[in-house]
Amino acid sequence: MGTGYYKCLVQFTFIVLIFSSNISQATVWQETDTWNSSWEQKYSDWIRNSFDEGIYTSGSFKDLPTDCADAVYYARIIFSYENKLPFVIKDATGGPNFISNIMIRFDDIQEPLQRVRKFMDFVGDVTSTKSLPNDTYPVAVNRSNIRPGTVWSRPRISSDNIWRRIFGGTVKEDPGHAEIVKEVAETGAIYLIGSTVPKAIRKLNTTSSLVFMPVETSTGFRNWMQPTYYSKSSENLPGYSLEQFKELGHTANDNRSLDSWSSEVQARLALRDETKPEFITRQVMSICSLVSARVDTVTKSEVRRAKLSGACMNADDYDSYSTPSRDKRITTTLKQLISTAGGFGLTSAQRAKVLRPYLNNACADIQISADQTISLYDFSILMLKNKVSSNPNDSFAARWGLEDSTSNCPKYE
Amino acid sequence: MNRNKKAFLILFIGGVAIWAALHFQFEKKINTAIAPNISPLISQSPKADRIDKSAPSLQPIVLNSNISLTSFKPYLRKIGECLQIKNSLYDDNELNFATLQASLRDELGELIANNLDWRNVHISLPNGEKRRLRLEIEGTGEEASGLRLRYYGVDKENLPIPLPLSQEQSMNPSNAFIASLESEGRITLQEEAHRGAYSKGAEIYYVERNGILSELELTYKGKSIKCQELNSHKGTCSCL
Repeated sequence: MGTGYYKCLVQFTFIVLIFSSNISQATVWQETDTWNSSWEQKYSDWIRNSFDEGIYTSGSFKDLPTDCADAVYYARIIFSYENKLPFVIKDATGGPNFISNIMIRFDDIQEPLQRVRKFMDFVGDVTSTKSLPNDTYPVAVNRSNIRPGTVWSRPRISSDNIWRRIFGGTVKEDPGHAEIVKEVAETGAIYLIGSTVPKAIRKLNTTSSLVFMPVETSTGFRNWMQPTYYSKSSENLPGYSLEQFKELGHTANDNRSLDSWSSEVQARLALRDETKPEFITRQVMSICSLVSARVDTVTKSEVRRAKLSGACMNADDYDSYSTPSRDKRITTTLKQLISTAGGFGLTSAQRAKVLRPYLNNACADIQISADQTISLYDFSILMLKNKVSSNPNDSFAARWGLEDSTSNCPKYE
Repeated sequence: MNRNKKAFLILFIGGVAIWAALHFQFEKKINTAIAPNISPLISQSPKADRIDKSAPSLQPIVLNSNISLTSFKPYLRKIGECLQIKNSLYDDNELNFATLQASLRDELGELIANNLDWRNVHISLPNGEKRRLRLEIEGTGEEASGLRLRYYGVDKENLPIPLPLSQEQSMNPSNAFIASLESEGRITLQEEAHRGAYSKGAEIYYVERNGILSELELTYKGKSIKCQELNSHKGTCSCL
């Protein structure tokens, strides 16, 4: 064999290699492994140890705007991308093909991280809490199934809203919500991490209160569909169960209630009882997180209010900057907390005094503006006295309960 | 060149050629799968084991097709048994919401709320291009929501490409604007989900594909029934 022929073969091989390497880039990322129980455990460990509140505001995925569903989908994408696993979801726009990491649309973006960020933008655009039921499935309530990484989802309007609509209340619909289980404590307490609406660049928020009871089978605690699961019937998926929707949460008179449901779920997941101090600390941390997250909304609201120079906010602005759900959640959690303090015949505020050390020790003073802080105890008292305003037309001080509400603007609640 | 060197070279080149051939095949598969007509997912996948070939069909039903459906009667019977109501049973095959309503009305009362949850529309333009609309109730604030319209083109892989709309066109769009987009071509798929409530307290979530009921979940007096894939021969109902 001559030297010329040998050179020709080497050149041919070189060209093939170059060409093939271009082909191999024609995906968002190349998967080299498949999802299995071992990878699900690693995903769970990653959520618990590495998926923190700042994931979309710092690091590789800095400045990614999220709403609640985005935060859930993106977590799965990031882990799949970083570990070269497939990411496959149904096309919620009704198309027959799946959206996955092998789609070739982004292959002109050379930098892998930029490519996956573009892919995340795309997934965020075509998914929502309404698509999560397609890509996750409900599981039995035990520690094998409900663990860090499990999705907590409610893609529905509540029946309360339906009835309010029917009987002449304001036309409002609950847009649904989704969070990720961050941790399941030994006591069975569940910590959830998530974003919220409207879509924005924000730190995630961690809480431990379940604010709704699953009724429809598209809601509740759900695990991710692995790519091969889409071809299987639900009954054959690991841990699949509908018990959260029917067997849990019954009260003595056979109705179902959120309190009963939450207690039963915690009992199922508990390895030991939760002590009273543990319960108090958990609830205080939850309130602390909710109030801290409120700072951002109120600050943005104040900027908008200043721009309007005294004019009333329209319905869209009102919706964006008011905080009725968050404030209601804070109040509900506060009331749950102070009910543990006892004190028959005392007012809520009087009972809260008993918990003052807990409220102030477990939560640092909250920075509500550049030069102003408020202790969690002081805020809690103002909240319990209904001094805190969720109305974005009110002054900054009124929003934090430091002066009375004075706005005469229309409310859109 | 000695014999070993020659053998190594032949093996190496052969290996590269096989590898390249597999890649070309993969590329060819993708291109085949993204032909203008909607093609099944399986042919798109480069790895056959990602999604089983027996995956439930996601292919949209063609409007006015003569699709043969199983009778609605067994499902209506299951609904009655599960919810412990004496709903009317019909022998005809009209698997649509009107039939369901007629069956349930005497027991559950009138449907007093029936709100759109989401809606997909696929349109084939005269020039062969495709468009999709998705309407969805979307959260805009803590307790606020609006009807969001998203408008898509479709790429070679039959996946949606977001097309820009102004805020006015996208959030709470007028019916006239939606109709104008829908009239740009021939509608090839319509699917929509609704949530409703009956006067006697029952609640319903249902999905229709091209006017045929494909999914429903009905809750009444603490009992729930969930029916899926009603528009196929694999339809099932589970009583909760």
